[in-house]
Amino acid sequence: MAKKLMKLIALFVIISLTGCWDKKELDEIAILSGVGIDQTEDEKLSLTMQVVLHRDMKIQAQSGLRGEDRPTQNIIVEGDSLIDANRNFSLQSGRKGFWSHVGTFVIGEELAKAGIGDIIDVLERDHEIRRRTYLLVTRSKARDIMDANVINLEAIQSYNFNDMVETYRTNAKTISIDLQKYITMMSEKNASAFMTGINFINDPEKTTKCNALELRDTGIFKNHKLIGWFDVMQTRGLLWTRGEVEECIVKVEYPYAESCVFIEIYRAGSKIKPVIEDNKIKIVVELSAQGKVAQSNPKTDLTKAETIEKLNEASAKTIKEEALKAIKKGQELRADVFGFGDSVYRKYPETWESIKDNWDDVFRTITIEVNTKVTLKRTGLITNCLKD
Amino acid sequence: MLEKGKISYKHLISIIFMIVSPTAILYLPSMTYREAKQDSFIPIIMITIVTLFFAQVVISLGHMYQNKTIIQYSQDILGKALGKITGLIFCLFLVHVNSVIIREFAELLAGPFMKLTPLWFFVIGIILPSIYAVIKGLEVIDRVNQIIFPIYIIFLSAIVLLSYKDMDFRNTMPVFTQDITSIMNGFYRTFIWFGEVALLSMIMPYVNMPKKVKKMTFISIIYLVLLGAIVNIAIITTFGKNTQNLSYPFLSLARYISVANFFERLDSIIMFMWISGVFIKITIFHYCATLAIAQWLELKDYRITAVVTGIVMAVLSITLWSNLTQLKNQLITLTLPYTIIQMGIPVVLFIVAKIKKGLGYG
Amino acid sequence: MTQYDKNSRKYQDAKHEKLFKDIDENVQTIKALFRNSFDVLFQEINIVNENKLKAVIIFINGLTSKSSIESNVVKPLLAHINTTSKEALIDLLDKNELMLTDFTPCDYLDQTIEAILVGRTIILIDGCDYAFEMDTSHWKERDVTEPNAESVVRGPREGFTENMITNTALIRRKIKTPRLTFESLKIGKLTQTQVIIASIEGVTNNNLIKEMKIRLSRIDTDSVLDAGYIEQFIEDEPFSLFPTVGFSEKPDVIASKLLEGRIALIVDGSPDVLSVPHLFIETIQSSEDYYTRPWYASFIRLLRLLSLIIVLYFPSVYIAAQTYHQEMLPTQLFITMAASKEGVPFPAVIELLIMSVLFEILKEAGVRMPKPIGLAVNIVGALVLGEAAVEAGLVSSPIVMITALAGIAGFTIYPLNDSITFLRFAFIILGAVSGLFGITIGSIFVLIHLVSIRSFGAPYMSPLAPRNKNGLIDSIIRGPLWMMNHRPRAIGWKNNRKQRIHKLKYKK
Repeated sequence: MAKKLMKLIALFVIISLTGCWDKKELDEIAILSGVGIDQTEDEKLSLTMQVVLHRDMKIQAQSGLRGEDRPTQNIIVEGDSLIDANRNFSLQSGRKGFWSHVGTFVIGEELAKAGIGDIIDVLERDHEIRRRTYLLVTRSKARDIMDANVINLEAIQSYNFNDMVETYRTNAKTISIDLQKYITMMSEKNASAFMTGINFINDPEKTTKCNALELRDTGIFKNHKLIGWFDVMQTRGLLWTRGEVEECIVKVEYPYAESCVFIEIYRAGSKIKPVIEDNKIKIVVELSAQGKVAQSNPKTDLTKAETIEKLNEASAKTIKEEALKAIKKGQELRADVFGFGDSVYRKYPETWESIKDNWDDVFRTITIEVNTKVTLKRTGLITNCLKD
Repeated sequence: MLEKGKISYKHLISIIFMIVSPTAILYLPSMTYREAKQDSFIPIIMITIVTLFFAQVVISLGHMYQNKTIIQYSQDILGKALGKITGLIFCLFLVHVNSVIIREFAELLAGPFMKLTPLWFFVIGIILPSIYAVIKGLEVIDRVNQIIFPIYIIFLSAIVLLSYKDMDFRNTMPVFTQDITSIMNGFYRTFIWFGEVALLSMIMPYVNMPKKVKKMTFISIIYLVLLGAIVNIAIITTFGKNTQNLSYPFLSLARYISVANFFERLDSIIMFMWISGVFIKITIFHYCATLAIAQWLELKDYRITAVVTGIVMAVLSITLWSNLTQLKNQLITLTLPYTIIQMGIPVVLFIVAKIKKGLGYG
Repeated sequence: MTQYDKNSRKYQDAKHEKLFKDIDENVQTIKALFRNSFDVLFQEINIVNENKLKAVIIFINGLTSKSSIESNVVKPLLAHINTTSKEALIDLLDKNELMLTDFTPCDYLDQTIEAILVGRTIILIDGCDYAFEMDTSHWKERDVTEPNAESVVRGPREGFTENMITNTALIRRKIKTPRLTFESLKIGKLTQTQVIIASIEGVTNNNLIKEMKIRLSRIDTDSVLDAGYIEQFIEDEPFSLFPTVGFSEKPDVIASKLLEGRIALIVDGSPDVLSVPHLFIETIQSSEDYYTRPWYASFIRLLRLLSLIIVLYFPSVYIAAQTYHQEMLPTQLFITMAASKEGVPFPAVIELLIMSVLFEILKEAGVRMPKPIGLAVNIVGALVLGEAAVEAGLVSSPIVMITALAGIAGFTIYPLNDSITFLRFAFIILGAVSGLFGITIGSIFVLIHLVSIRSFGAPYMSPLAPRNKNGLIDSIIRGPLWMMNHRPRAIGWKNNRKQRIHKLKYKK
C-alpha cells in the first residue's frame, strides 16, 4: 500500500512540476478588443491593436466616474503577415495579444483593394479567433477609425462597433457580416462577398465631440479584393434581394412625389427562382414584405380600402426600384453577391456546369425580374392625420 | 473465460453507439462532403444497409459459437494454425486502430485547445484511466458508460439544436448531382468507422441474453446513422461549401453557436463531452485488444496484458505518425486493409463455418 | 490465583470458572478483580440468627439506581430473610418467588463480573455456588433531543441517544412487527461494547446478515468507543474517499432504511446508528424529501446535486478557465476578472488554495471553539478573510466569492462534504496544471472508482449505473410516493414490491 501511495505521489509531483505548458496567466496577456488592418507603403501589414486597459475599467467601475480617457489604447505594429505582426506586438506591449475577445476587424481600403486573402486565411486557421467577429471595411485608414471617437455607450470602442453592426436589424441600411459568413460566401473561385462599411461622417457639422463615425456603404469584394461600394440605398436593395431585411422604414411617394407616406416594414422575405426561357436564364426575384403605416400625410385617406391597396402597390414599386438599383450596381461590378449563381446551381446543376466559368459575364447581361408584394396590415393608433 | 462479468443486453445499445460515434462525428462529415458534396446522405444510407448485414453476420457467428470470442472460434473454424494467424492479425489490428484513435484524440486536444502541451501528456492522460478501467473489467466499463452516454447525447443534441439559427437549408440542394464515383468514394470513406461494429464479436459472449443481441445491435446502428445524419446536415447547412476545408467541422459548429448572446463560446464544453466520449471508445477498444491478446496467448489473467497493451498503444500513437496530415492521409490508405480485417475476417469465418456445417463437420 | 501479581506484571482477568460456595472467598475474588475500586460496593446482609444467613449485594455506584436496589432487592430479601433457612432462601430465589423482574442465576465468575459492569446487581448467598443477578441499571444520560447535524423542517425530530436500549426502543416504536429482529454482539476487548444488528426478516437478504456477522466477528480490537470505529472496521473500501457505510441520528431515517432491506447497526454509547449497504445516491437524499410533496422535493434534490457539482467543479473550472481557456468566458466577465487580478501577487491557483484552506480552518474552528468566543470568530472570519484580504490586495474578490460559494454549497450535502474536500483540492490542482483536460480525466478516474466499488455487495452507484428503472424514480428526483412501488433492487433481492396503491377514485 505504501508503494502504491508513493507511486501516486510521484505521478502527482511529475505532473505538477512539468505541466502547465499552455498556462496563460491573466497578467501575461493583453486583451484585444479590436484590430484594424492596413497596408503600409512598402506593402507590409500595419495592425492597429486596441488593447483593453482593464485596470482603468475597474477603477472607472468602482469610482463611478467616466473620465475623458477611454479604457483602451491603440498600439500600432507592422509585420509581413498577420501572425508576424501579432508577435511584434509583444515587443511593444510586453504581453502577448489575446484574440479571443476581439469584437471587430476593421480593414482599410488600400489593403482591401490589394487583397485580403492572406489575412482571411490566417483568421480561418488560427483557433484563438472566433468566427463570430464582425468584419468592417472603411474608405479611410483603419488606424484612423480605431482612433476616432464613438459615442461611449460601451466603454470599449470596438464593442460599440459590434452594437452598431447589429442594428442592421432595425434600419436595413447596413449589413452585418461575420467572419464565418464571409468565408462561406467566398468558398469558391471567383466568388463575391460584401462587407459592412464604416466611415467618417462626411459633414463636419454633423459630428460632435464624441461621435465621428457611422456605418455607411457596403464594400463589395471579389476574390478577396475590394472592387466597389454600394451606397446606402443599394445596400438596402441588396438586403431586400437576399431576404435579410428585418425592419426598416420605406419612404413611399404617395399620392404624388411631394407628399410621402412612410411605411414601417417589420417582416420581409425573398425567393430567388431561376427560370430557363428560350435557352436563356432568367432570374425571378420575388420579394414580399409586411408593414404598417408609420407616418401619413393629409392627402391620404387611410380609412378607405383602396387607399391601402394603392399604398401597397406604391410601396411595392419603391421596394422593387431599390432592389433593382442594387442588382444593377452588382451587375456593373460583376459581383454576384445576391446568391443568384447559387440558386441556378441548386435548380439547374447541369446548366450551371456549363456556365459557371463565365458566370461573371453571364450575370452581367442576365435579365432579372423583380416581383414585389407588400401587405400593409395596420395603421397605428390613429387612422387619418389632420387634414389641412 | 477470462472475464467473469456479464453485461445486460439493454446496455449494448449504448456500448455499440460509443464504439463508433465519438470519432466518426469528428472526421466523417468533412470526409464524405469532400467526395460526395450534398449527396453525403446517400453513402450514409448505403453504409447502414451494409452494416446491418455485417452485424447480422457477426451475431450469427456469435450464436453459433456461444460464449466464445472471435479469437477463440476462429481456431475452431479454420483449424489451429490458420486460426492463430487470423487471431494474431485481429489482435494487431485492434492495437493499431486504438493507436490511431488515441492519436486523433491527442491531436484534437492539442491543436485547437492547448497547442504548447506535448502530445504524450494527453496520451498518458487518457491511457491511465483506460488501463484502470480495463483492469476493473467489462462491467465497470459498462457502468461508466451508463453515466457518460446520456451526457454525451445531451451535449450533442444541444449543440445541434443551438445551431439551428445558423442553418441554411438551401445548402443541402441540389441533390443527386454528383456522379457515381464521388458517391462511391464517399461511401468508401465511411467503412472504417462503421466497420468497427466488428468489436461486437469480442463482446458478445459476455452479454447476458444472447437472443436479444440482434435487436439491440440493430437499434444501435439505426441510432448511429440517425445521429450521424443529423450532425452531417447541421454541419452542411451551417458551413455550406466551407465544410471541406474544415479540419474539425463539429468543433467549428460548436464554436460558432451564439444564441441570445448567452450560449456562446461553448467549445470548452465540447471538450468535456469529447474527452468522455472518446475515453469510452478508447477503453472499449483497449479492453477488446487486451482480451484478444490474452485469449490468443491463453493466459489466465489479463491484467498484466492490459498494462502492457496500454503502454504499447501509447507509444505507437506518438511514434507512428509525425503530423496530422500524415495521419489523415493514412486513414484513407488504411481503409482497405482495415475493411478487409474488420469486416472481411468475420465474413470469411462465417462462410467457412456455414460450409463446414453444411458438410457435416459442425 | 486471581491476584494482581506485582512481580510478574501480568494482570489477569476473570476466568470462566464457577463461583465458590464460601461467600467470603467470592467477595475476596471479586474485590481483587475489581482492584478495590471505590465505586464497587459490597453491601452485606448479615442476619444473626440460627439460620446464620449471610448475603452480600454487589453493585457499582453510579451505574445502578439505589432506590431500585433498596425496594426491589433489599426489602424483599429482608422480608423473607428471618423466616427461612439458607436452603429455603436459595430455593426461593431460584424459583424467583419474589417475583422480581429480570432475575436470573449466574454461575460463572466472568458472567458475574460482566453483570456488575453493566449495572446489574449481584446477590451472593453464603453456601451457594451461584449468584443471582438483577437488572437495576440506571445512569444519567442525555434526553432524546433533536440531533444538531440532521435538522429538518418537517418530520419527526427525535434523535438517538447514547443508550442502546433507548435506541432500540425508538426503532421499535416505528416498526411494530415481530419480524424486526435485534441480534446482539460484544466487540472490543476492553470496552466490551454491545453492537446490535437490526434487520427485518423477510425483507432483508439473509446473506447480508451473514456477511455482517462474519465481518463483525473479525474485529479484534481493544476499544470500540463509537459507531465510527465499527464503520471503519467493516467497510468495503477503507481507502476510498467515499463512505460505503451510512449513518444517521434519526430513528425515522433508520427505520426507512430497514424497511428498504438494509440492516442497521446500533452501537452502545454512540448516537450514530450505522446502516448498510450505503449507496452514493443516499448522500443527496434526506428524510425530509419524503415528507414533502414531490415537486419541491425533486427540486431540492436537484439543487443538492447542483451543489455537489459546484463544490467539486466551480473552483477548479474557474481556475482552468482563467489560466487555459480564457476564450470560454464571456467578454465582460473576462475583463472584470482580469481587472480584479491586477496587483495580486500570487498566481490564481495559489490564491484559491490559500482561501480554500483558510475556509476549512474557519469551519473547523467554528466546530471546536467554546461558545462564548463564537461570535468573535464570525466577525474575524468575515471581515478579515473576506474584505480585508481583498482590500490589502492579497487575493482578488472573485476568488473570495468562489470559495465562499463552494463552501456554502458544501454544507447542503453535509455528510459527503467531508469525503470530497480532498477531491476538491485535487481537482483544483489538476485544473491549474492541465486545464479542463485534467479536470475531465480526474472526473473519469473518480467515476470509474465510484462505479466499481460495492457496499456489502450492492453496487455503489445503483440505481444510476447499473440502471434500474424502478429505482430511478427515487434517485435524482423524488417521484410521487404512489409510484415508488419497488424496493431498491440492489439491496432487497427478494420481495421487491412493497406496496400496491389503488387509484384514488371519487364515487360520483
